[in-house]
Amino acid sequence: MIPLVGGAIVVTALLMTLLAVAGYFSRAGGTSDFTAATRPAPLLSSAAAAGGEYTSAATFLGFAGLLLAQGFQAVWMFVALSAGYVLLAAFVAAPLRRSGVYSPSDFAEWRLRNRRVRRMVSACVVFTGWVYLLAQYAAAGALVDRYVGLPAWAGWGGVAAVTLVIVLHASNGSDTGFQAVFFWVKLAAIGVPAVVLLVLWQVEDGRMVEHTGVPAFAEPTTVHVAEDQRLTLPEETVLTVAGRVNGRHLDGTAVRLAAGAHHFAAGSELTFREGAAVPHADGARPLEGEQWLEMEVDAPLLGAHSVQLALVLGVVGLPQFVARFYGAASPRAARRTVVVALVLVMVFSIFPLIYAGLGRLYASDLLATGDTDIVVLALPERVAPGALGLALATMVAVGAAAAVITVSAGLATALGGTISQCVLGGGTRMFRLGVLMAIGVPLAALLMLPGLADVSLVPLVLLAFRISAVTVAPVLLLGVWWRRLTDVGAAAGLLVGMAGVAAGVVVPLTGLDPATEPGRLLAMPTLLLAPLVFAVMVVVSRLSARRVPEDADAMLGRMHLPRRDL
Amino acid sequence: MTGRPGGPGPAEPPRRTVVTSPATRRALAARGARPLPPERAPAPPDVAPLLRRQLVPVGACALFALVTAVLLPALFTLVPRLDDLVVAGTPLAWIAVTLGVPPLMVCVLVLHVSRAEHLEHRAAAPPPGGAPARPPGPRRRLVVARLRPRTPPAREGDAR
Repeated sequence: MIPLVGGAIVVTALLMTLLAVAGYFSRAGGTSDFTAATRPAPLLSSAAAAGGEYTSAATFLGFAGLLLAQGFQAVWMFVALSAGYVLLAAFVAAPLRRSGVYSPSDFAEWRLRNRRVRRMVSACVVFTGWVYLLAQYAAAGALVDRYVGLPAWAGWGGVAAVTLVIVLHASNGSDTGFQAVFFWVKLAAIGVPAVVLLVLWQVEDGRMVEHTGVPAFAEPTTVHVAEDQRLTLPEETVLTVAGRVNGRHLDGTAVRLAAGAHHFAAGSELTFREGAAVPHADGARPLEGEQWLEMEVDAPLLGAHSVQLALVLGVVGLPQFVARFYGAASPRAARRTVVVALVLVMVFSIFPLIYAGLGRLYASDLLATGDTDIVVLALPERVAPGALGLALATMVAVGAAAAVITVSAGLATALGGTISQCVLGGGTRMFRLGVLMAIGVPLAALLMLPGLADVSLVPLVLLAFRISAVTVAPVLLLGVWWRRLTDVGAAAGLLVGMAGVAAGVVVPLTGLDPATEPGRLLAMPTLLLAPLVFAVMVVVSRLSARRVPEDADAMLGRMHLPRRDL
Repeated sequence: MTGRPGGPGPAEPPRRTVVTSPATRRALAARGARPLPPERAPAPPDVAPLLRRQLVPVGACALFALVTAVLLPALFTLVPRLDDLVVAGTPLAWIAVTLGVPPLMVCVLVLHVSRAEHLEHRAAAPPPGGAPARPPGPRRRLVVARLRPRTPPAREGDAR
């Protein structure tokens, strides 16, 4: 039998599909539809839609999990994302709205008068989108596996099928309205339970995170090791092991293990006593309470700041964020949309902090299995066992399902358009084929490499932000603000950016340690790669100055000067 | 049997008219148009002064974004003593990140938007001596009303 939380996930997906199909068959296609289409979306709806693109599986589920695993220092990522919105409003929103093009690819071709550069930008946009979609599928697989009792591939296939139906049947509807409505659903689904949990926590005991000591099991707990795993014990621990530990087979005997990393084979059962320190999976570092609360960045500064910069610039170039401004009534409205969206995103960002804080008190055992991404879903039943906890968990599950599906639909629409325009020649039929490719490729990647689904949500999304930050964002920023950008310069920068990202992905797979000097050079962090891409674009553009489009001044004028007919 | 009124013969299919917006009509007309010779082409607008003037507000915004996203975490990392500062029982770092940075970001953005729009409208104004620039905001209806043909005064008997 499917538990209630799993049922909520399935029902949400089915309801969204049903709404899309019902909307498709009840469409009028009359004059009123065209009249409605010419009406600009209200500012709050546009901003909510932009916020809806932000509230993906990674932000809804992953950020609270990241905070639980890495401590309060991960808050800097929210700050970086907000700073990205500041750049988006300051540099890109209004000029892009005035240019009248509909995607980063359209912009590249229009601004640089070169179809090859358009194809390169399209390739970057599509790869970014595929990685982002991978994270949504991985989240769906984890949810279905844990709460519905079906294998993860059923979740991947399910979200792909639902997204396909929604995008193909609802493509004539209002995308802004769809995203806006579900943003409010997601905000309520994460916000209302968070407030209730805070009240319950205060009523119960209101205890705070202790400054000393690592997380400990509140009751005797058995941990099942699903696959070969390296667990870090924060302190010397006595536990019962039925399975293989550090190559030694034990048959349910108690063993004392020293603090540090130990290797456990798949299928092992580990039983911890009440009060025993929680082991940490996936290489997470055990943090004492005081360390967990600190804002000090734990990782090496180069790596940490690279993540920050990737987030700041990534917001500027991600297709689903940029595409929001074409629906704005005017450049003024586009700028104001970003301002209001920033406020909404900030409000949303409060809730993962609440879940992470309460998670440290009530759900720190999730660190033992590395399932920290589900802390948002697991917490209600830990704080309020019984009907109330179940109801709150169901509410959160509805929001999580909506987050996965709406962001997948937004991405599939953006990628379908990009693929059909760039590769397939445009048109409705080609758009549908493009959507099929957009949804199908990450699904096929997951089916061929199921290990991809084991990567936490935030690192996957960070990769998408990194690709965007060193490819699309420089083209947009320089194209909007620098007259002398040429097609050759943009192409050279894009090649360097793509090569840098590819090296960053491949180097760890080759076994070369990224911490060593050659590894560090090859897997160049964003803090070095992004300035390098900008520099390459500028230098090569200077060297190919005669390729500056003749009407570059007119294009800049169109982007920066208010038109009288607006 | 139904047919078109007005004459015998096979019924002709109804005439279809393509309805397009003014913007689409302009775009379609421009598609087949030949480019103007260089001597007749309008001079491109000079945006360089506007870009130069916008450097200050845009640069300030970029600097603010980079300071909050990159330098602030570096500050808390390089000066760990900041983590120990507590105000009203709450670490100063938490207050800075949750209550300080977000409202400041929104304020900076609002200021930037108003400044950028002011500069753009100044740059879009025609040169001195030309027609006065239209102020920002919705187009005034007064001009449209003046262009409409005046209704002749009602004559006696029209009231019936």
